Amino acid sequence: MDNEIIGKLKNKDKEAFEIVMDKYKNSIYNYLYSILGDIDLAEELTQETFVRVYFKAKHLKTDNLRSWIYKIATNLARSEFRKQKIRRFMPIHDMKNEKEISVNYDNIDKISIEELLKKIPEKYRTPLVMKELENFTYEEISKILKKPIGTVKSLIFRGKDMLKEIVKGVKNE
Amino acid sequence: MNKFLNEIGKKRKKLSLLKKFDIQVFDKIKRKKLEKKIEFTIVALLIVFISMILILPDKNIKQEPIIAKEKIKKIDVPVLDEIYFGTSDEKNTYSIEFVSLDDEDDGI
Repeated sequence: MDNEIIGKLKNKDKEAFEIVMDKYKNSIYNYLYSILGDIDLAEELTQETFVRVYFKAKHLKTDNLRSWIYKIATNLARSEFRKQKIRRFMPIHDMKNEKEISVNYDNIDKISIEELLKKIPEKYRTPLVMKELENFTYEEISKILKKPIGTVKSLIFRGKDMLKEIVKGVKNE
Repeated sequence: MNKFLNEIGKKRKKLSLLKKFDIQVFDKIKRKKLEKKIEFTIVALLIVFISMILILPDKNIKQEPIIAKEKIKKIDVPVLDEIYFGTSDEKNTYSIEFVSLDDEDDGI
């Protein structure tokens, strides 16, 4: 089915594009929300993802449409992280916001996964979300992130470790 | 840990986009198409303009030698009976002095 859709997408077929958008928009939205932790930004980048899907489909070389769309979304999220990193060095009032992010949790069950994930550096968060929440294989993650499989595995392992520590800390609070 | 992630993943609230999302995406695509058209037109116009500058002859450059020619006046100054000292540029000044030759040197 993907091959047929990809062919039509390459020809900028509106119907095919709508089918693809319907199929993936909510999962991309949830994925971006998991790694960004910002609902508005996630929606904005989901829109941008599909705009890029429309214009870049003619250059699509893979059969794995899902991976390709996630790759676009991941690249957009990463450039957003880079922008935020630059911004963080500039205004002083942003440092206050950093402190406000650390929330006091009463009960682990009340915490959303996004809140926990926010505490892990992006480097580990993205592959962890891809593996555990989006169910990508190591090979797919390695292709999307352009990193060797070994590196991906160790990033996920360290990400899980960090998450474990955070959960422990929250339980002790 | 995996169990925890699975459980928390299941509990994870699934967000859904509103219907207006599709409209917004198509609006963005339309806008981007228009931007690309404008960009293409500007680039095409620039190429035409630059190639016109390069291809068309520059009138000022061609006229320059004619004007220069008109300005140059050749002045001939008699030095001896059949020898003339010629200048081709009236901007330069030359002084000519009489030189007396000795009789002994005359036979050279």
